[in-house]
Amino acid sequence: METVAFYSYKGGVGRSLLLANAARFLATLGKGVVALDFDFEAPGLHYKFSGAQGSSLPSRLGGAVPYLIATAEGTASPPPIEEHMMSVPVPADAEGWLRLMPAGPAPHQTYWAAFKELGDRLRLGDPGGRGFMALLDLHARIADELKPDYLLIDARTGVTELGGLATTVLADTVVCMFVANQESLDGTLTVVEALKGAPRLAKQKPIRVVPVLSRTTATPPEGERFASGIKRLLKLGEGKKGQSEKEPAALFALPHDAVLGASERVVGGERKASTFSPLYKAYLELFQRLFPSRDEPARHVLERLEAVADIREQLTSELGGRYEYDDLLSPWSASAIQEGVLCKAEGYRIKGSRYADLLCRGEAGQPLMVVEYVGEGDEAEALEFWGKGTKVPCTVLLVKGQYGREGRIFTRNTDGGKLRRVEHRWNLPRPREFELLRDVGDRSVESMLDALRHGHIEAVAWLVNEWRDSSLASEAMHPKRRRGHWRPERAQRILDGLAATEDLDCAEEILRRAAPGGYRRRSPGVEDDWDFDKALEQRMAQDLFAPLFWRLPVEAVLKSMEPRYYPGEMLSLAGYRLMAEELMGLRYDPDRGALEVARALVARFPASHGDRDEGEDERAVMLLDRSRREQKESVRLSDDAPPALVWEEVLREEPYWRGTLEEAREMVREQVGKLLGSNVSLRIRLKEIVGRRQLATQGLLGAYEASHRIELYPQVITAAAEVLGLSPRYLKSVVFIHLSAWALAHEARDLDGQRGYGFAPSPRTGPFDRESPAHVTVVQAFTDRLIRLLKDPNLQAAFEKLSKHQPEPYTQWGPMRKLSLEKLRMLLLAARASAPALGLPGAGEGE
Amino acid sequence: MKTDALNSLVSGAIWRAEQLEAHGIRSATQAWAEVSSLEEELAKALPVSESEGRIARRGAVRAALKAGDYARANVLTEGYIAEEAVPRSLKATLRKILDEDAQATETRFRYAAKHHSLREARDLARRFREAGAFGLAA
Repeated sequence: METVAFYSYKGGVGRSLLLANAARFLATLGKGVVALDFDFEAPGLHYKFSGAQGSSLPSRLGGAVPYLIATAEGTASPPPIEEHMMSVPVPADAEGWLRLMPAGPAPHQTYWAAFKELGDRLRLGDPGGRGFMALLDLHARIADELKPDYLLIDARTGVTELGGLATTVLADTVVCMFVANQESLDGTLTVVEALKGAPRLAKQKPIRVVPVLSRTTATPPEGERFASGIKRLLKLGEGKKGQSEKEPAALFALPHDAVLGASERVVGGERKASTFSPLYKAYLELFQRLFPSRDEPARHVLERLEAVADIREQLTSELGGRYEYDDLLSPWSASAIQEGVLCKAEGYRIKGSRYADLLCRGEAGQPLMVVEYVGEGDEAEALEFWGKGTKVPCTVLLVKGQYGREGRIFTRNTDGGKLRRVEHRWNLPRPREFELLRDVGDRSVESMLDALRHGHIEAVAWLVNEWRDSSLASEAMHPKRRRGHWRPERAQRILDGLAATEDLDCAEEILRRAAPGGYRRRSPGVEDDWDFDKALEQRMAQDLFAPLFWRLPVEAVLKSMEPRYYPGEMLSLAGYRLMAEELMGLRYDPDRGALEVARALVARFPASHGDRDEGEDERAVMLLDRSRREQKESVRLSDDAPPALVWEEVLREEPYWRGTLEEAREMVREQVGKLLGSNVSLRIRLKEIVGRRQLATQGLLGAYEASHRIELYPQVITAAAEVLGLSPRYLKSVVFIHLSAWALAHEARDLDGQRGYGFAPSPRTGPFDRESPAHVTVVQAFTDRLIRLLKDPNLQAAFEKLSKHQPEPYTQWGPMRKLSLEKLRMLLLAARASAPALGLPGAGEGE
Repeated sequence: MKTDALNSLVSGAIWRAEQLEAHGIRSATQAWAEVSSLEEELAKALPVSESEGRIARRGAVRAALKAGDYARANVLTEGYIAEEAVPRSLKATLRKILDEDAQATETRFRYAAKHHSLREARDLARRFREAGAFGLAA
């Protein structure tokens, strides 16, 4: 049995608290420990073990004082020592035990009466040696009967007989605590010097003295006298070893901890990371020295606590890096993380229980992830337990790796199965990932696309980033930033998966992230190489955004056109340019037109006063903003009646009617309203139209209006899709592409800067105003080219099936495929320059 | 005082001390101290050559030990052993009395006695008495 006495020259240094922590720490490490309260004048060790509220010891309970009264003069039949002890609870998985011999039932009156009696009976100076023998007898009896590994004695403060004997005669090691003031240091130094010269019993080794500076603050005391006192203390006692041999030993110092110190909470041996604090760390460092045979476990506990505290910190904090997938995922809330949970094995395959340092739970309380710090060679056993004994989908083992402690992540899918190691992943799974992914360790493209299909918007960032890394790794990226490998097949898989998204919010997010600058929009602090960014943005705009612009649901495309991050933001440009520049060979730059107008206006209305340049800029920006708003507003889903249906209704009532579209709308408002209001009637009508092969894109499914606005009629498109057995989503996209091609053929400029007047929208002055078949054919050919370029089989199928039920000009894209792109562009230029495509006799015959 | 009177006082004191001890009354130690004091007076009055004188000397030491006054018993023993013409048997008897007392003490503190000798404890007690706690008064 090793006896350690905790002594302080002055009170209030945290002596009893340190003793209680040491006792619990040793018990947790599997040691038998007896704590003995020898502070008879102010007993209170039992308060430390039973929490700050204190325990109400029954007045009949024994303790050191009643025991010594009974044995002070020796007795042939000493009282059972167990009657004077109390068991102190230790953590459930602790293999050791802890018993306390309190001074007595203080503060009951019976204790003080007994204490007075002890003063009469126990005469430590008795020449017959009975006083000494009584103390030695208690000490020896504890060793022989209880057989603890450690006896920790709370010795009386100051210079007292009992304090002196507890430290000089009973103890092997004395921890001398003091605070940073001259009075405390001088007293301690005097006692330590006396201890070193104190007589010992024959079998006893010289006393080890470990001075400990307690309740230290940031400012060390000044003065040469104090410094030399500390030096002297270190010479007499043991200090903290330096990092190297040259570095001198330092005094053990326990920092002031307002929380732990005030609550007097005993955390010794505690494995919960939340208890980790500078004071606890200092305790553990001291215990390493104080209990040399327990040096390894103390270091282990310290490492464990540091590692687990670090992991806990990671789990509960935002990542705060580049705005990528992980940054979108909220960290674990503190309430979702349970610390120090003893988990029992489920089922029959594994028995027993295991200690999880952290247990992270989902919203319903289900365990999602365990974190365990494992010792050397314990990894396989831990994995076996968590894998076979539980169903927890993710296990993180903190093991010692080549570069220190590392968190190894093991996961399995929601169907169960074996835990598999996740390579190349350093950040720990976040709670949302358990909802997103069937297996949080599986961040494959398929897994992420599956999450996206289930409407998990966070997957978008990851997929867009992966697309970027897979497709731009080789050429467009700056060498410093090149991080993946060029994997075009993978990039195509991602692109197709993104394009298949049905969820409108996800689709909008895809477009915003894929848009030029979208991937870095929310990380303004990141300094990027300018050329790199420019090249990257251009590639992303062309290869990712533009195809997605045409392939994703039209509703999402329209939503994405709304500026979100800054006024005037126009994401659609890259999409339109794919059609205008790549296919049609025209230049489409609405900003340029707007600027020209702006300049002209500014020239006409000079600023009245002040700084002219500033005023010009402001007005130019305003006009640019307006231009872009108009751009966004130039496409809309309309609930109005399509012109074709309006004319049809009018002609049914008055075959020779003449008037504008607005007049016609007014005339048949009721009938058309009924038609559109009833899906059945609409479908019947569309079936008739399909039967007549009159399902025109322009005028019935959508329209390029005189106000230069593209309108889509979703009610009609949906009904037509049902009639044709198509997905409304893809039919809508086909109509959108066709009308956009028409609009671009009109609005984009050729090399001379001219618009395509031949494609000017019809003023719809009568039921017979129809688009020229030649113009329709050309636009339909470009629609086909774009759809083929997009390589979307759904769009392709919708386009082909639709055209089979359309008027003849819409079906001529087949023969046009034989033409080269150059030839097709020539035809487009001719059509742009021809008479407006109003369907006037002979307008398209020349083609 | 005549020895007869002392003898009768000693007999009464011994009877009283035994009675008190038998009934577990704490003042028995004081009664034994009284016996020791009377025996000491008797020993002064009776030479060591007489058997009554030797009995008184043994009685003084035994009673001092019974009174728990080991120091007094030790002083008395040393004094009696140092007397002139003290028979060897008395010397041996007095030492035996002290040894028996030490053994009895060790029996009463049997756990401590397994690890440490009473002599050591007494030596430490002496030093402690002389120099105080931590030896700071030395």
